[in-house]
Amino acid sequence: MDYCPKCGAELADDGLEGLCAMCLLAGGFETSAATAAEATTQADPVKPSNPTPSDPTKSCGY
Amino acid sequence: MLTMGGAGNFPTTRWTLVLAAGDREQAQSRAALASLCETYWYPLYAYVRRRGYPIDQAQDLTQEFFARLISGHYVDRADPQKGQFRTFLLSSLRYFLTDDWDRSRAQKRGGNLTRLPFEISDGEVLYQREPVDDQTPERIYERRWARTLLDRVLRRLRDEFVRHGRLDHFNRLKVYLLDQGEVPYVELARQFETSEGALKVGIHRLRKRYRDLLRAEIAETVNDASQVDGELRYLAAALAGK
Repeated sequence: MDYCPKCGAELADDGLEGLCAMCLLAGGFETSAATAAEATTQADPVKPSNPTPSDPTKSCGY
Repeated sequence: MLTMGGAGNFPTTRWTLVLAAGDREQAQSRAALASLCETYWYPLYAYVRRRGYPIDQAQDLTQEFFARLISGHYVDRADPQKGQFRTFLLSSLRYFLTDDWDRSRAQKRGGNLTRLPFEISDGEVLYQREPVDDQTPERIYERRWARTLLDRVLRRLRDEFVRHGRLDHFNRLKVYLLDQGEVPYVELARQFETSEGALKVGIHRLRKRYRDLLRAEIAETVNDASQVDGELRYLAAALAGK
């Protein structure tokens, strides 16, 4: 059995792209992670132009 | 299915449509219910199997239950005050499973011929992958519910990348949803031929998009915005075995 390197929960091998279900649920909260990322965004000189919510793949131009 | 409207600022969702219709015949409500059942039928099948029913009987029971549900049974039992589709579905199934006389009568008539939007027989394939443990039927149900929900959200996110011809990007970036990428940002940015800053912005937006999809998916099964965080906490506790 594998364990999540972040939270230590057991990792099932049946889907979820191999990601930890507990951590994925935690990602649903409006957390400080978003705030931290926004701070990074503000400090970043490379700001993407007009991203659309429905297309996260356009977010940084790669 | 999220559309703006409904009470307060909470959008109209599939579940609020069902609740609003009650037991009245409304095509939109029935379609919404069928759509919800199509997503969340497997946790119920797993519950029935864990209750000890053999494969054939579990398939028949699950088939009959959903046929009844989608054709209008039990919807009048939904309590808008209690909220979640998850609890409604399980309580309705429990009611059905104790309703032996009525069910056997239906089976003598040839059973319900309502066509379901999913294939019950697929459930056994999934069930055979369940870990052999001593989880109660209720725990199996809740755990499967949480994973079904998350799987649906990840597929929607993945599909967005596919639609834009960027499946490879999704496959390489998905671990960064949880901040678990092993490749440093500076190296990943080089691989994507972009700046480290732009990459961070992209990952931030990926996480936000995931969070929005997850919260929207949960909102489809509750009837009040205040229940979304509570449902997240409940499902996390269910996964943790608390």
